[in-house]
Amino acid sequence: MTAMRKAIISDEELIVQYLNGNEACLKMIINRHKSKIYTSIYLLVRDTYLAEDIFQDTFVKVINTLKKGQYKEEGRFMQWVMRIARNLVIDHFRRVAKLPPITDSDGNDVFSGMSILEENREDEMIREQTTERVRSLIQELPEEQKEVLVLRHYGNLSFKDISELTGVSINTALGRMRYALINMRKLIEKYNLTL
Amino acid sequence: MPMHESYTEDDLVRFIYNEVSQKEYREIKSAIESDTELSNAYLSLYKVVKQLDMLAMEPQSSTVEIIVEHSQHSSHLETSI
Repeated sequence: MTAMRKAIISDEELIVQYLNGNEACLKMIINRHKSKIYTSIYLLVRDTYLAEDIFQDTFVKVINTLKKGQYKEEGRFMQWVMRIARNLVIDHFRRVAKLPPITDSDGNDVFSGMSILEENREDEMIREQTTERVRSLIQELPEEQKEVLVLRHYGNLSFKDISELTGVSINTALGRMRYALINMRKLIEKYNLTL
Repeated sequence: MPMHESYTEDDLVRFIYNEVSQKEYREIKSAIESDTELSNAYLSLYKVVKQLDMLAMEPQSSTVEIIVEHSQHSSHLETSI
C-alpha cells in the first residue's frame, strides 16, 4: 500500500511537500532519479569520484534553487536537473581546460566498489561484465553521438530538450541518436559481444 | 534513406523513445508489423536500446546522505534567521 502510494506521488507533489518541510520527500525524489542522473554524469566525465562530486553539486544547486523559490519548471523536474548536471560537467571541463579522455583505459577498476543490488555472486559477475561492456562501447562513440545518447536514454531528455540544450536542430539531435545506436550495434558485432 | 514508403530510421528512433503522436504511433506500429525490412530495422535498434538499459549505476549512499544533510542544514539556517 505504501509502495503504491509512493509510486503515485509525482515529482511536483514531492517538491511541494519538501518545501513545506517534509525532508523525507527530498530523499524520495533523489532515490527515484539517482541512477539515471548519476549514470548520465558518469558517462560524460568517466570518473567515479568526479561523478559523485558533480552529482552532489547538482542536488545542492537543486536544493538551493528550490528553497529560494526559484523553481519554475513545473512538470519537468528531471529535465531541469539534467540541465544543471550537464552545465556542471561543462563547467568542470572548462575549468580543467581539457576534453574528456577518449580511451577507456584505467578507470574501469574504480567501479568495483559501486553499489549494486543484492544478488548472488554469479548474477553479480554477469551484471558487472555486461555493465562493463556496455560502458566501454558507449565510450567508443564520437563525443557528439555519445552526448545525445546519454541525455536521451539516461537523462530522459526529449530530442527537443537536447536540441535546446546543445544548440543543434531537433533533426540533428535525432540523427546523432540514430548514428549512436547504429554504431553501438556495429561495435557489438565488431567485438562479437553477447550482451 | 527510407526504410518504408514513408518511415525512416529516425522515425523508428522517435517511435522507440515514444516521441510520436498517438496517430503516428499506430501508423508506425502497423508499418513495422507489415514490412519485413522496417521490422528488421526496428528490432535492430530496439535491441541496442534494451542493452543500454543494462547499464545502471548509482552514487554511493554517503553522497546521498551528504545532500540530505545539506538540505537539513540549509533549512535550519533559514528558519533561525
